[in-house]
Amino acid sequence: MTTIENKKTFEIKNLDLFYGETQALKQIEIPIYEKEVTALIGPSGCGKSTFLRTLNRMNDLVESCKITGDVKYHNENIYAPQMDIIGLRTQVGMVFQKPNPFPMSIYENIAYGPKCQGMKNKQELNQIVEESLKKAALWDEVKNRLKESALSLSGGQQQRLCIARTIAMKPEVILMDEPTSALDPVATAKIEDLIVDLKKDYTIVIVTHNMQQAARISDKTAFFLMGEIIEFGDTNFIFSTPKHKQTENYITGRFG
Amino acid sequence: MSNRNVKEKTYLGMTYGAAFVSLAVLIMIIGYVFINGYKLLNFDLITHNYTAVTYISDLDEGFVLNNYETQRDFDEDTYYSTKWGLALTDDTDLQGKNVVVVTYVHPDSPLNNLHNKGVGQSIIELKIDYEIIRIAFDGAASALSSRGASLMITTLDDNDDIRELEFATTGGGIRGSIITTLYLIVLTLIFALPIGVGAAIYLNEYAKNNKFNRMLRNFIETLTGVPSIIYGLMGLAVFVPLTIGLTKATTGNIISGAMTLAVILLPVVIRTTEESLKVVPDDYRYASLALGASKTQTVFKVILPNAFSGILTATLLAIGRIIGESAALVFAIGTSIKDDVYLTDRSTSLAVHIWSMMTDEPANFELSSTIALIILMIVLVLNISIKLISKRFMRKYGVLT
Amino acid sequence: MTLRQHLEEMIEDLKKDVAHMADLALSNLKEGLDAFKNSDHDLAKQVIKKDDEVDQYEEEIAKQALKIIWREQPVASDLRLVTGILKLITDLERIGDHASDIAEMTLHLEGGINKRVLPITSHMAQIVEEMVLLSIKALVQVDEKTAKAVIEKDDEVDELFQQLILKMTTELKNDKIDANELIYVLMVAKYFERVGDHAVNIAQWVIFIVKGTHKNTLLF
Repeated sequence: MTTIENKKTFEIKNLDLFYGETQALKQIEIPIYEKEVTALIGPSGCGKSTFLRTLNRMNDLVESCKITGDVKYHNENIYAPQMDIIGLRTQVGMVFQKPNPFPMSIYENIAYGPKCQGMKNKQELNQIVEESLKKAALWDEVKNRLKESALSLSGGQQQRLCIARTIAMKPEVILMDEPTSALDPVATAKIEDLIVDLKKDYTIVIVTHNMQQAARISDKTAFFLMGEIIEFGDTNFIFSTPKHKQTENYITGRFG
Repeated sequence: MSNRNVKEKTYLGMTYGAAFVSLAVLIMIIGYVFINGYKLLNFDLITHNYTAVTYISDLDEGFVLNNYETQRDFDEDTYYSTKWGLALTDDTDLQGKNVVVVTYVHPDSPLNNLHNKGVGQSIIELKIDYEIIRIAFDGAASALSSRGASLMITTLDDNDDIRELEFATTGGGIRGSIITTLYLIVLTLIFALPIGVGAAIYLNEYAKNNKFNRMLRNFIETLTGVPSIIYGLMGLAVFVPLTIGLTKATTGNIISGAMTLAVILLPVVIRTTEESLKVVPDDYRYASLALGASKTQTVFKVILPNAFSGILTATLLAIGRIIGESAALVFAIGTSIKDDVYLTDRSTSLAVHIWSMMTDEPANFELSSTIALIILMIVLVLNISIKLISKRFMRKYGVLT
Repeated sequence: MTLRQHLEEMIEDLKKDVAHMADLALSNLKEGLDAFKNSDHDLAKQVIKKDDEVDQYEEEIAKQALKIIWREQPVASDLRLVTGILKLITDLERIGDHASDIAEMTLHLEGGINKRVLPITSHMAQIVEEMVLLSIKALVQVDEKTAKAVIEKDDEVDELFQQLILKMTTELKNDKIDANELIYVLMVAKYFERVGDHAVNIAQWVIFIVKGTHKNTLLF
């Protein structure tokens, strides 16, 4: 039944997360396998986005957030005090639900990350911009207007731009928080194809409300409910023969 | 049903009325100033010194009178003396009095080089636009400017020698005050903008939401309402001695004035900048941080450029306030109208100049209106140019709102 | 309030239709078997006619199942139910066909059947009828145990079939049986055995609906 176990990029154990007094995540335990797409599904407010943000420490931006437990990235606990947060974020990139390109030119958007890390050489930057846009399947559409504002692109293109921007940092992991929920079906389909293509090179963790999307593109699926992981496993088992009634009820839509 | 209609119409009428009244008042005020000040508006006002210097002179020894024909065409009210090579015209000075003005001096005329009977330079030139006040002759009645140019020329032609020539350089200009105002604007902005924007960045991006910071914000907000004369007193008490100690200033000066103005403007700049920083969507911050940028990089590369238009508004507001500020400056810089402007010396801004004009005997309302008109024009020009510059700047950085 | 009211209703309707089809196939089988036992030619003719209804049901149910798939994109148990049903209605339809075949064989048998062969064939008929009944029960109750019971019974049927062949070859050798009669009885017995197989198939698809495995192979 199980294939050869891939390497674990992330290993999370006993993760508890509190916003002030409220516990948002309870004893989360889950592996994230390398070069696979792991989907996080579950009803609204069940903690999947919160969990996603713990993987690149974006939860740090919320003052009242407290975390205990082990979040190991390549066997290093990323919540250890000496962890280089900025370095972590260059390795673990994030794409958000609403496309959020900077109000700059397309070129500047992609070059932003590398420039922040100190890259100045024009040639190198040009190359990175081209590579990233190609990998994000956007190059052909924008190669003649790199100096135009990123905001002049359509929603779907903007989201692919955000993906390209993340790729420009050459991360190992890409976290995606409902990346297609703000897009039309055609744009969604393009991004889904892109994700399936990207997983050859990147480890992807995606939060999605769209069950069919999770079924279509992911290798592993985790079902979150009220801050806990009810079930985790190969996507095809979760969607054909789930072990827990709650999982079954959720994916057949018997409860939201 | 009709009751509601009536109510609707009444409310609508009131809003229209309010708009109309506001517009009417604005137009009236500007119109009034315009009408009053328009007459005295001319280029000389801006370029001339304020203080007119009067000289009493006489002719050089051994001058020669000749026939100074000229091909020049003169207006009807200009009178030319071929004997002396001098053209005079009737005119009104910047205060409105009738004067006799030099319109042309023939290059060979002896009147070019006059001997100064008083202190200062020994040789003075009689230049165009100078006022002839009085020409005294041996053995004839003096020609006075009050009599008019025609009579003066006739009298000149009747005589071969001049005992004394009293004339005045042009004055009444506001050049000094304009330069002061410009200095003030630049200096104040240099002081106020970095500190204000920096404080706003701290408050909005770095400060935690605790009691101390909330009190700080309230405090700054309160400061925006403090009357500027209080700051003026503070300027007198603090900045004037400070500048006296640090520079070669001896009294209130432009630098202390700029510092005072900067303090007045600080709360406004901080508030406006903070508001424009708040408006920048958090999405950009998240995106930047998720890419591995540090907080500082995020602030300076993404947030500030976006808040630029807001900071611009703050700047324009500041400039408006600087130009209009009079009470505080009266203390911090003083009220002497200067022609040679030094940073470490007292001077007047345009607003204080108006104040000075109006507190003179008699109050010169027309000139004040003219200066007011000039101020309006400066504000307009500054607005437009700053907007143009900012557009260019934003396009260069690829930041578009 | 359960969500997906529409899906729920469609699935209930589907199950009802399958139950009807099964009942119909079963009653046809029973009547076919009776007709054979009693050489009732009139009954046999009725049975043959009724088979059309069973065929129609298969089409209807297939249509409904496909509609559920394209409209509701079922997953997990819903998916297994719908696809399992799509498969097992084939077997139900074949059972109906065989009932009709058996009735037709009856028409060719003049007079009674050799008394010596009858007990075995009756026994076979009885077991096969039970198996179909049980498989329908397993389907309606979606019960794995019942389904397994059906599968086990198939051995009995196979054994009886072997017995019958032995008996009939003996009778043939002893010249105690008419050749015509022999052939038709053999064919009927074969049909019994086929019906048993179809009942087993149905049971196996019921197990798939429950567990997702068909004949011990996970289909996912």
